[in-house]
Amino acid sequence: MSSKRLTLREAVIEAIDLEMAIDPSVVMLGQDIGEFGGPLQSTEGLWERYGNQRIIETPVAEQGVVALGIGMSLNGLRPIIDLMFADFLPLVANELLQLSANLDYMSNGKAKAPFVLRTRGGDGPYRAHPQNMEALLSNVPGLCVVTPGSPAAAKGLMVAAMRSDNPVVYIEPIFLYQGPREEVQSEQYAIELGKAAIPRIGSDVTLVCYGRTVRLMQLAAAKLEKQGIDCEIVDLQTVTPFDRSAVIKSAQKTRRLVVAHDAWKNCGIGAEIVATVVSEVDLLARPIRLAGPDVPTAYATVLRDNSRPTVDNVVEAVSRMLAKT
Amino acid sequence: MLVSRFLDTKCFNDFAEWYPAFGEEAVTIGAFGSLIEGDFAVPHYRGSMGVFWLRGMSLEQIIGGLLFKTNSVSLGRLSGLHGGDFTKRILPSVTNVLGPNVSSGTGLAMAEKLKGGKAVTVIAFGDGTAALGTLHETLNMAKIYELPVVYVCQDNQYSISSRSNEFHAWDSLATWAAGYNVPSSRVDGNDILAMRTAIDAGIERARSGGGPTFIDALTFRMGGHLSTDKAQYQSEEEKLTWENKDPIRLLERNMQKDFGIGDQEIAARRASVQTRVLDAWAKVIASESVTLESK
Amino acid sequence: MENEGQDVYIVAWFKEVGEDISEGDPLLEVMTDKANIEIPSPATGKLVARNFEIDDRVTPGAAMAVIESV
Repeated sequence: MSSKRLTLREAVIEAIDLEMAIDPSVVMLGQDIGEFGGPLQSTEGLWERYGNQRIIETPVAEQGVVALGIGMSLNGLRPIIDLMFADFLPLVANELLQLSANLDYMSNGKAKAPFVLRTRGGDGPYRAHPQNMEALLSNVPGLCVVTPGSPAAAKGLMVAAMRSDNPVVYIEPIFLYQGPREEVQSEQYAIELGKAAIPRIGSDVTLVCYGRTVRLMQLAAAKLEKQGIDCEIVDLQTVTPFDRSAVIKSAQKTRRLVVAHDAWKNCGIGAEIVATVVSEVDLLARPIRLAGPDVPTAYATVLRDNSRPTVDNVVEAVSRMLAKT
Repeated sequence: MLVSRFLDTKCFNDFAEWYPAFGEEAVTIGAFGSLIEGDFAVPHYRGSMGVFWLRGMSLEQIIGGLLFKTNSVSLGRLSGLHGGDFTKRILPSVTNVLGPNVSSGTGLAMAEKLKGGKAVTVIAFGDGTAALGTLHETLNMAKIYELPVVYVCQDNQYSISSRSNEFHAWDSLATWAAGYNVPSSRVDGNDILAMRTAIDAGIERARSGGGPTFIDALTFRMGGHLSTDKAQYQSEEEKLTWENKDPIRLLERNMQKDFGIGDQEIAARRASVQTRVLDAWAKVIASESVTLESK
Repeated sequence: MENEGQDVYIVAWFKEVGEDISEGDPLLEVMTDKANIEIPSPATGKLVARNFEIDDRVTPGAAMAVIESV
């Protein structure tokens, strides 16, 4: 089985490329995704292979474009709607939350919209769009929101998203875009939506994470190992609906819980994770949520660098938790 | 038009809140009456039931949607006005927010064009909705992509209590749409024959690859926004003017003039449709209602 | 060894402190908003210091590593 070392960006493009080659109903809609190669080179090479009929550039009209893509998916196509940056999600919230999230249920299965809303967000070397909006999409029932924490997951999740018969919002962490490379299987493969991954099995504490914080937890776990603390990492992969049974199972085993995500703490995904675990599991210590402070995300590097959890935050939180119990 | 009128009347009388399309039937029936099988219909909520019936939903199914019976196409999940059957290519309104139907309906046309298909999409919406940002984005894209779509504005001149022309900077919606280089016209929305002429031209243009058309169907909302609204903001003068232009009576008078049909026959026709509607209603009201367990 | 140019982030180190390295060997991997770049060692010798950890931001002009030439 052959594989290549790819960055997250390259892995997503490979998934889309392989799928477009075998499924003519997959098309892309978005700004600058053609010859330009996409913002942050997110569609590099695709236009050269698939041309204007399948890589369709649009005006700067996100609401209209997202709705157009939804309508296209109701008439036989499987569009990947590229929303340039995830902090535009509130702009298209109506189309996502009131239109696409409702279609399957309200029509009693007669109108299904098999589209992917592909976007990219969070802080990173590219600094212009750092805000994280996945919690906004998670309260309203009917949407599936996924975010990969690594190149291999990125490919598999994108394939699953393209093959889903219902809407999937796919958020790429900008921080990981041109980041670490990983061996990614060259064949096309899918990772099941709604299932978490356990990249590290352990017994002392459950570290729940997604997107950029997966890597964070891995770096923290390596440091904690030197202190004799054995961490289990649960990478949600699908943020909504998240894999409740995997999270609960891990928490039941370790009986300690730390959640870390980049988005704001108040009503964030961490809040739902903690509420879920606490209602089913008797923990040995109070659970800890590490997240962005509840302040709009500023630009200056010192302010920006302190707007999200760090490896040290995790190590400190876990050490403290284990010292007490 | 009579089916629409009698359904609306029954709902108006029976329900605590209802949004009738009195006076606008020529627009709705005219707009969607020329579509063939395979075409897509995206109706406005006002007058939608007439469109559902035109496109092949049975009276029983439509009424079932109003009364939350198990025969409703959405099993009671959608309100009666919104519950179009998508298997018959009627786009249901799955949100009560206006705008997304127009923009996603345009996506149906986009896919059709990309697939090389021949289906046309007719999309109706109100004059109030036309001020929404998403309408502007959508009309722009319909033109740049030359989509097989016909837009029909049910220009009844009011958005709840607001007179639309006080809130629109353009002279008319037809001149607004023309700004996008979309062939557009203002049509007498109470004259079903004028509507059909305009619609047929738009459908022909769409089907032959000529891109979108915009029809500003000028009509009048006879009554309030909903049944509890007494429409005191409408002047007596305009109400009377438009009452005399009732679309059903207009057609009947024309039929009498052009084909020599007598008063009795007109009355008999009306009675027959009314009976059909009320019979279907009685049948459905006695049928099984949706429960929590309904699948 | 300095960071010339824009802000970069450390992706990975290929050598531990104390290891020998030859000129041209991959020393570390950095990322910018546009690219993921492997940086070769500018000299042959021993890596005596790594000044930044993985995922740290490195500002232009900052010394990323120290190599003691033999």
